[in-house]
Amino acid sequence: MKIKIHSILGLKEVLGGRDVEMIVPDGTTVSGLLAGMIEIWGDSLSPHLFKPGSDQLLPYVRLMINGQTIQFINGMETVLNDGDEVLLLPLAAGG
Amino acid sequence: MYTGGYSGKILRVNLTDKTSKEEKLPLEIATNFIGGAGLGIKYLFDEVKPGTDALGPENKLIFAPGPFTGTSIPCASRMAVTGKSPLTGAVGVALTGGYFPAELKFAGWDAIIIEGKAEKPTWISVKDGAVRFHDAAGIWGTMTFDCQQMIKDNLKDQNTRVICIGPAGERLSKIACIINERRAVGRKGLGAVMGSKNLKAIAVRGTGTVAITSEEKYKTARSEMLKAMKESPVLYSAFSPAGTPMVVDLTGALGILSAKNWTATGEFVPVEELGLDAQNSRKIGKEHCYDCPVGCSQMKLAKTGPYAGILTEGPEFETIYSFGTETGVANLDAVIAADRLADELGLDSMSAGVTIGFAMELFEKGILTLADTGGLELKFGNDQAMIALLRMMAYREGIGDILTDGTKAAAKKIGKGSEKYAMNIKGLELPAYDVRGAKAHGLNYATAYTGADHNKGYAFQEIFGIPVPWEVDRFAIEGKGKLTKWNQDVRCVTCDCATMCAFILDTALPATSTQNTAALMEAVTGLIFTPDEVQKVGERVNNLAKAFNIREGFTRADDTFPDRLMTEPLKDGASKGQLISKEDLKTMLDEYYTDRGWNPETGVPTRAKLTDLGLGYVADLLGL
Repeated sequence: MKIKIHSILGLKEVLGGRDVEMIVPDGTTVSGLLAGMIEIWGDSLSPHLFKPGSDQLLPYVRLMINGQTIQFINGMETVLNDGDEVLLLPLAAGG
Repeated sequence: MYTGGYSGKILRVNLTDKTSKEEKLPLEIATNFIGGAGLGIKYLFDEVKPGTDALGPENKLIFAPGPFTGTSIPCASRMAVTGKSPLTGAVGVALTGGYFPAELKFAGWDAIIIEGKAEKPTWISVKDGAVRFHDAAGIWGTMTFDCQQMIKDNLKDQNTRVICIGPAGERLSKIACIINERRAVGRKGLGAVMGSKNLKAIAVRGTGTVAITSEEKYKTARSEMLKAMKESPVLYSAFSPAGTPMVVDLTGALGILSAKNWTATGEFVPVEELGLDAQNSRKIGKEHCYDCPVGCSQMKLAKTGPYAGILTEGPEFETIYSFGTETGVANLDAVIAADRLADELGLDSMSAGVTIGFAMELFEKGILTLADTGGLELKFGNDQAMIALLRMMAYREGIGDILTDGTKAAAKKIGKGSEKYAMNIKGLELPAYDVRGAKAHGLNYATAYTGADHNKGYAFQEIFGIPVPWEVDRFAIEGKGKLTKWNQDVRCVTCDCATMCAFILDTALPATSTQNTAALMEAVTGLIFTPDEVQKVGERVNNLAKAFNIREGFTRADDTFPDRLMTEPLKDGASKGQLISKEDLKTMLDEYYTDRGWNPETGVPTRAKLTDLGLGYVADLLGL
C-alpha cells in the first residue's frame, strides 16, 4: 500500500522534499514505517527522530496520521491504511 | 520598601494642562500585579470609569515595563501598553520589545501614565526626571520612521528612544498601532488613543541603572535561565536563525494556516512562496532586542517587481498570514512591502491584512463593487490593490475610510449581510491559526479579555506538541477549559506582567516559567513568591481584566466565534472536516468558567473567586 509522508523544516531537507511516498506491506505500523524509512535514509534521518543509540523517539518529534497525533490513536503500534498521510514534524517555535 | 527591580516611581503626565508629577508605586500593587499589563490593568480598572469614550480625554494609556527590564536578565526588555481599546471597547493591552522599555527603566520609571488631551499636536520628552512638552506641528503627518529620526535630531541625541504614531493614529484609525523603532505596539487600536490625545510621540533617555537586590541570587537565577535557554532543543539551533516564519511551514502542514478570509484554509497553502525557504531567500541580517542573545527578528529585502529594494524588519509569521495567505497574496516581496508600509503608516499589520481580506471576499461576492472601491479590483491575490488600500486606510481615503476601523465597524457600515464575513472576536481581527483544527487555541480566542488574541493564552501544546502541563489532542473538546485557564494565567504573569519574551516561555521554560519568575523576583526585587503565587498573579490580572469588560457590558455571548468557524468544516489539509460547533463551544466554555471559579451561566467571576484573589473591592463594584 502507498503511504504519503509530509515533513517540514530540517526533516524535509533530509527526506529530499516536503512530500515523499513509500510503498509498504499491508498491516504496516508506524513503527514499521519508521524502520523502513531508516533503511532508506539511514544515518542522516536517525538523529532527527531517535535519541542517540536508541529506538526511542526524540521528545517533541511529532508523528500524525491524517492530522491526528499517534499518541491519541495507538501510538507506534497504530496500523496504517492505504493512502494515509503521515506528518513528520520537528519542533518549531515562534508565532 | 523597594530594594531592586522597581524604582517605586510612576510618572503621571496630564496633556490637558501640560503637567507631570512623580507618584509612588505602592508596594502592594507591585506585589499583586508585578508589572507590565498587571500594572496597566490595575490602573485602568481603578481610574477609567465605565462607559468612558476610548477616544476621549478620560481614557488613559499606561506604558509599563517589568521589574526585570533594564537588568541583564535575558529577553525581558519588553513593555505593555494598556488602555481602553477603541476597536473592542474592552481592555486593550499590547506589548513591544526593542530598546524603549529598558530606556524607560534607566530613566527611573516603573511606568508612565498618560491622561487628558493636548490642545494641539504635542510630543513629550523624558530625560531621567525631567519632562518637557514640545509642539508637534513640525512632525505631525510624518511617517513613523521619519518621526523617530526627526525627534532624535531635534534632541541632538541619537541614543534617545522614541515611540510614536503615524498618519493612521493621527486620523484615529481604530486599528492604528504605536511604533517603537521598527517594532509595533500592534493591536487593539492603541495608536488611535495616542492620536485622540494629540500625542505624536514620547522620547525617553535615561542615565541610571536598575538595582539588583541580591547579586549572589541574581547570578544563580540568571545562570539557571541561560542554561534552560541553552538546553532548549529549538531556541538557538532553529528559532534564532529562522524566527517566527518557520510557523508558516508548521501551520501549513497542520492544515491550520488560515487563508482567503478563512474560506480556503488547507486548500490555499503557499508554503513554497511564503514559507521559511522563501523568507531565507530575502534575509539580509537580524535584529536583537535589548539584552537578548537570541535575535529572532529577521531583516529582509524585497527583490522583485515594484517592491525590489524595500527593506523591512520581519515580516513575522502573523504578518505573513495577514498580508499573505489571508489576502491570497502568494508574493513574498509584496508582503515585505506591505509590512514596511503598515509600520510606517502606523497600522496594525494583522488587523489591516484581515480587514483587507474581508473586503476582498465582499468584492468577490459582489457586496462591494468597483464603484465602492474607487476602481480597485479587490480580488484575492491582487497585491497591488492590497498596497493601495493600505495607504487609503491610513489616510481615510475612499473605501479606506470605512475599512480603517476594522472588520466589525466596517461590516456595520457596509451592511448587506457582510457581518458574517467579518472575522473578529469582540471586534479584534483573528490571528493566523485556524482554530477549527486547534480547539484550545480557539477557546483562548473566544475568552481572551482583549478579543481574538493568540498571545493571551497560546496553546503551544496544540501548535508545537509540547506536552506541558500534559499531552493534548488538538482536535479534542474535553479538557480544553482547564488547559486554557493554565495557558492564560501562566502566559499572563510570565509574558505580560513580568514582561519576559513569549518565545522564551515556549522554547526554554514551558514547564518552569513560574519557578523561573519566582527565582528572578527574589533575586532582583527581594519580593518572595512561590511558583503557585506567581501563577496566581496571572489569574488575578485575568480576573481584573474580565471585571473591567463586564463593567463595560460584555457578557457570555461575547465569548464566541464568527459563525464560519462553527458551521463550515475545513475542506482540505491535515485538519479536514474539523470545526468547533456551537455545542462544542458551549461545552468548552462551561468547563472554562467552572475551572475559573466563575458563574458558568453568565461567565462572571464569583465574589468568592474575586475575594480569594484579593479583589473584594471589585466584587463590590460589580454588585456581586
